[in-house]
Parts: sequence; C-alpha cells; structure tokens
Amino acid sequence: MSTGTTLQRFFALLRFDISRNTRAYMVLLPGFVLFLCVLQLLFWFGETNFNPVSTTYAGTSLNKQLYFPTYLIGFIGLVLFVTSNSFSYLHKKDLAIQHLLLPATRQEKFFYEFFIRVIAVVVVYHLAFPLIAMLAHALYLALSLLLFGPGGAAPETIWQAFSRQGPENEKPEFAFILSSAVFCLFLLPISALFLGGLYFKKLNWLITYLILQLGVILIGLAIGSSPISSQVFLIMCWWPRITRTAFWTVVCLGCCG
Amino acid sequence: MQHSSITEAPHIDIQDMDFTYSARVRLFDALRWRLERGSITGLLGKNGAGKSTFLRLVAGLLQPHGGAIYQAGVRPGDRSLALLQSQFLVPDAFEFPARSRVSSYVKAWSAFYPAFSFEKFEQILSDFQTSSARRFGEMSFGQQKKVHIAFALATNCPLLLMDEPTNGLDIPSKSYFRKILGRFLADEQSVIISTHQVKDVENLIDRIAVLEGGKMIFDQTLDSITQQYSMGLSTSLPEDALYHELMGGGYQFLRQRREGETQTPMQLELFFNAILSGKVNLTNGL
Repeated sequence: MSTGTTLQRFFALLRFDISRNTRAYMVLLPGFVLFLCVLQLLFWFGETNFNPVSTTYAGTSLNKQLYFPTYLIGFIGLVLFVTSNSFSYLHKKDLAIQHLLLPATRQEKFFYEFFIRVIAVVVVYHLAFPLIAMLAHALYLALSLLLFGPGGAAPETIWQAFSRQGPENEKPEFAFILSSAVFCLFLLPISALFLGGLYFKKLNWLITYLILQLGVILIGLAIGSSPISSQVFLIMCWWPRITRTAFWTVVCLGCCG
Repeated sequence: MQHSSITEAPHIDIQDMDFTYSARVRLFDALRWRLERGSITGLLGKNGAGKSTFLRLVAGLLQPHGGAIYQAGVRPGDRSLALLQSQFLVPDAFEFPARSRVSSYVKAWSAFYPAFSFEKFEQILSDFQTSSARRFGEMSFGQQKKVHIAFALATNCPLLLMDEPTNGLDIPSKSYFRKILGRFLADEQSVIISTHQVKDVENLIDRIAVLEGGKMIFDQTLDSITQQYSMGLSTSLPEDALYHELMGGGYQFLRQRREGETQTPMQLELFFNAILSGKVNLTNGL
C-alpha cells in the first residue's frame, strides 16, 4: 500500500481501530442499548397507572414526548462520551507511540478520528434509536404482561407516535429539530477544536477560535456584500456569539467531567 | 540545511542537537552523529543517559530544541508518510489488546507497511517458538515482545529502532534474537539497538555508539576497535594494560594492539566499561 490511496489507508485505520478496540465496542454498545431501554421503560412505567384490576397506560397523548427525553439523553451522553475521548490514545505513552508512528498522513488520522467520533456516532445513533425504541416497547409489553397480566394498555410504537398527524404533535417536532440544530452547533466547534489541536502545537484552542471567528466574519462580509438579503447577513452576525457560547459550554462541561 | 538528495544522504545525520526535558537538566548538548546505511549499531549508555529519548528523537516522536536531525535527508519530526513507512520503532514498553488474536491484529496493522512479509513474520515467530493463533492476553510480556520484534523485521523497513529489545526475553530467546536479526536483515537495512545489557548484543552489532553526558562520546565499528585494541584474560596483569577488571582467576584486560599481533575477539562489556572509565582514547572514536 505504499502508493495506496488515502481511502485505502482510511479503511485500514478503521480496521485497525476495530481490531484494537473490539472488546470496548462489544461491552459499550450492548451496555448503551440496555441503558436506553431501561431509561425508556422507566419513563413509560412512570406513566402507567398501577391498578390491581386493570393496568392502564395514562400517557397515550405524551407518547412522543416520552420518546424524546430518551433520545436526547442518549444523544447527549453518547456524543459527550465518544467525542470527548477523541485522540485519547495520546494520553497513554505506549499507545501514543504506536499511533503517532503509524504510517498514515495527519489528515487521514484526523478524518478517521472525526468519522469515528462524530459522523459515525450521529449516523449510527439515529439508525439505532428506532430499533432501541422498538426493543424497549417489546420489553414494556412483556414486563407489563408478566407483572400485571393481560388487559393493560400499551404505549404507541415509535413509528405510530411520530407518524400521527395533528396540532398536538407540532411542539415535540419543533423541539426535535431545534435540538438537532443545537447539536450541530455543538459538534461544529468540537470538531474544529480538535482539528486545531492536531495542527497547532501551541495555544491551539486560541488560534483555532480566532480562525473560526475570522472565517465567520469573512463569510458574513461575503454574504453581506452580495445581493443576498440583509436578513441572511444579520443571521450570520449571530454566529460568533453562538460559537462563543457553545465553546464555553464545552469548556464548562469538560471541567465538570 | 536539508540534503538535496535523499539517496545520497546518510541514513541518520544529527547536527548539534540540543534536547532537554526541564530547564535544569540538559539531556543532549550539541550532539553530533552520523550513521551510514546497512549497519547494526549498539547504542550503549548508562541508565538515564538518554538512549530511549535519543531513539524517540530519531523516530520523530520528539522534536530537538536546537540543531537538527535528518533521517535519509528529511526531518523525522515532520512524520511524513514516506518516513513513517521507512522506519519502525520497537519501544521498551508497549500494549497489545488482550482479546485480539495475533494473526488478526497483525493483519490489520501490517496494512500500513507496504513491504510487509507475512511469510517472514510467521517464520520468525516459528523460530521464536510462538504461534500467531494465540491471543495477546494468553501471552507473557516476553512472548508479546517476540511478536513485536517479528513484526518489526517483517515490515522490511530500511531503519529499525529497537529500545531494549532483549528486556523480558528468556536466555534461549536472547540467543534466537541474535540469530534471527543476523538471518533476516537485508544488507541495506540499518538497525539501532539501544541497550544497557551489553552482553545481549555481543556478536550481533557491527558498530558501537556510546551516549554519555549529553554527547555521543564514542562511535566506531567493531572491526576498527579490534584493529586498535587487544582484549583478553591473563593470570598476571599486562604492563601496558589500559584498563582491567579483576576476574575469578586473573585479569580481564584491554590494551593497545601490538604490531603484527592477531586480532582478538571483541569483549563488549569490558570495552564499554573502559570507555566510561575514560581509559580508551576517545579521539580515536569520533
């Protein structure tokens, strides 16, 4: 692979990562799925009326809201845990030597880390969450049958909850989109900061932050001076504040962690 | 100044390198050293002389604070792809994933080394009486070290850096290590073996370099050393002995080789101690 393409080495890095961390993945993934299932069941059982004659599920109208906290807690937890462990091998001397001397370019090593820690996490989580919700639903049915016998009401499945039309669903959908947007703004500075950490040896956070600010100003000026509506420019002017807020939030969370 | 041609450049060229871990302790001070291609060099020195740091600087894991290092004409600190593909460092301590099988791990790892030979790897492991079908968790540190050494040799990298490679190896394996290195190295490959266990690299290295006081105080081929000096064992101490050590039944000595005298075998430990005692004329060395 001396003349191998970047893509070949990128996949080689992925294979190497899997061979190194097989055990961690085999423990963490089922553990995480179990955690979300238990969390979802706690939410549902909290909404269940425990009547000795007939168990009824009281939260039918809150189905979507009950899926949403689990989704959000899972997403926040996973992103914070996985992304904050980026380049964790650099903290262990033995692993750092192996990774730093691994024949791949800095860009390949960065994009592999970015892929594993950001893109894969977001994509896999969104693909896996409906399956986890279905598993939790099946577990709820089984447990309520086991604990209370037949006749109890079940919550809607995730598909039913999110395909139902009507004004009552507008609020949670809006929250869903808003949270996604907030997370995009979280992920963006995190990604940029670890890219900066890789490239700049000294004061990497400050230099990266200044470059981000400069980039935002330049984009803002470019849009502002173009015939595009001034409204877009005004929105762009808000970006530095959001970036700064997101940055300090990340710093605070890091300190708390 | 960077060399204009990589092929003409010495394998390693260190120019006035300074390095320090703290402001008070200066580890290397204007260190100069050159290594031509195709030699097995024993990097010797006392504990704390900076052998491991030296290898890390050559590998590009650390950056010199002054002066410059060139590996085949390029700065190793840049860790370019071509450079990383042309060197392999066997560190003193390492960590393999306990659950992984040697074969699957090596398959994933070897994808980064274009000249890697699985045949060679299996052959070396078999010589070391170790199997690639086992998991790392089932292996001792010494057995894992054998896998690391076998991997290093199978990469066919032009430069191999080995930091205390015989640490953790049992006595038969140390002997196998010497044989394997002699058998599987190509003429153009260079190896630097850092060790403080001088006996382990005897009959293996063809050059010695000694680190002391932040400088490379001695660097010569074994052949030139044995041309200049005689080493032997005698019941009485020779009058012209430059250095001697008391043995059970006499003296182990080092002296200037006399005119017409046949060359004596190298006694590395004795010679190393003589260098550190200051009894060997170091101007001959560098």
